[in-house]
Amino acid sequence: MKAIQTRVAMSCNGDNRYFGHGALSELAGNETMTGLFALACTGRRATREERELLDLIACIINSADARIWPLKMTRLVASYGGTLAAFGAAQFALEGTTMGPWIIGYAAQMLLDARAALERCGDREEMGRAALRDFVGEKGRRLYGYGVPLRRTDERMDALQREARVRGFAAKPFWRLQEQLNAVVLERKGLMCNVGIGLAAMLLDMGYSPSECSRIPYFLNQNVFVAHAVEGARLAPAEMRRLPEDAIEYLGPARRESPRAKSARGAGQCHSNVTSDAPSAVASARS
Amino acid sequence: MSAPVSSSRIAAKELTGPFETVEWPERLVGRVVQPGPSPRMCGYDVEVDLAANYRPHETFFLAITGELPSDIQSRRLGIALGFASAVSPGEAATHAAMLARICSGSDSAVIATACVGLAEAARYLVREHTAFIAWLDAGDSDAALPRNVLAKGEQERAAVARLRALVDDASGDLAVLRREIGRDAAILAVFHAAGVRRADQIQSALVYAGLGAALGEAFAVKPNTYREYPMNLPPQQYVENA
Repeated sequence: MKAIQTRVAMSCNGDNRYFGHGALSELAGNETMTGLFALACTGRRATREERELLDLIACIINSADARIWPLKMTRLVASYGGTLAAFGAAQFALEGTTMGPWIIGYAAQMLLDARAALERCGDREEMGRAALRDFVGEKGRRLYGYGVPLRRTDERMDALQREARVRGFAAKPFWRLQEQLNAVVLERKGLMCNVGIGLAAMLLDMGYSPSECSRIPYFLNQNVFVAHAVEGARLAPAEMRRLPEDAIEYLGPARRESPRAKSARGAGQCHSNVTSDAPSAVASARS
Repeated sequence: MSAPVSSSRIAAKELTGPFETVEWPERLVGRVVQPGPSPRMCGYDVEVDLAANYRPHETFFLAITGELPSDIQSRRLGIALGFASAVSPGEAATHAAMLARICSGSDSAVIATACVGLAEAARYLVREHTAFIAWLDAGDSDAALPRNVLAKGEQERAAVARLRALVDDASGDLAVLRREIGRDAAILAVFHAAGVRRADQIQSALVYAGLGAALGEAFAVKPNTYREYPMNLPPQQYVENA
């Protein structure tokens, strides 16, 4: 059997290896939790400056209202008292959907596509705006990182824009591109930018690939699930475990009787005499 | 120790946010189960009707399709579920559930691991058979089959022959089983003929089918038997700077 190559780690005598580094001799005392996550997602160590930016991102995307849909999933599973199952349960739904940091990777790919569209039309500014208008208006074009529900602007994007200015991103290529795109999307679609497109631009300018732009902020956001798994399991509220029946609105098919029940009734067989281990009932109903 | 980190606390009554700006539905909508003292599923009384007259796999079909299966659909579904049930320890889903058990995971953790693994395996299988499922949906039995569903050897051909011998194909809608398709494709074809056609329905059926074997294998393992576990199966080799 051919060996599967892994770059992640190996248990070694004296010091464990992790992505080419000694866990004890190199990482301990020098690396941070954020740096370990970045290393896990990319296979390379982040610089001090990169780690500071990633910490900033982690704080900016820290939107953890217990009612937010994926976090509510955590609370629901935690209501039985288990912390880790609750933590795990919410994760499955967030890879590649419209919700959560994973879409930042799609926004990053969209920025790369927009840049390619711009490059095809040359350097002239007016032609560039026209190319972005065409790009945004393409049939079936999905605009990741746009739309701000329930409020006028995304407060996280506002904060990211302030920080980006302070940290010198204004002149960086993807940050500038998303600003151009934001204006075009607002003009053509009436959609405000949200933090997704800003983070995509910032992470691309930091040198990460689109897939890394999904993974890194996703894993930097795990604290919100931890918080709800911990508190949810501690409280384990009965109200979360089972909603009262009058809180459920049933919209399925109306009451009806099955063909076999009808058949059994027609044959004079009482339902209650039919065992739930169905073969005899089924044979009777079919005959 | 350094000084405590500062914090700003605001009285709850002063806090408001975007979720407070709109009205939300007050009730959760259900479309399958009507709860109550005499619960119903898709309109049928669970305790008086379904439990008395229908096998578990038929109630499962009702839950995922909204309708009870006909007798021929039921038979086909039962056979396909049976063929899909043997999820061996070599399959990642069962293997992972066994490891959860070895690690002394709770019973629910073992079950959850099996469910997640089976669901991922089902997603993978459906994705691999996307073109074939579209072929089945198109209903043109003379059209060329996607190459990736062809049988890979005599064992697969024999398994498909056994499946073909079991399913009733008087109507001819399972003619595809007479072609050189693989075992997985044949199971999907029988699911399709039984009315389990959408990707979500197929994946649900595959998880339902495999859960018994995966859990049976996992719970047959003794917890904490780390030294009895084949650590290097399959072999993994750590490389640096690859």
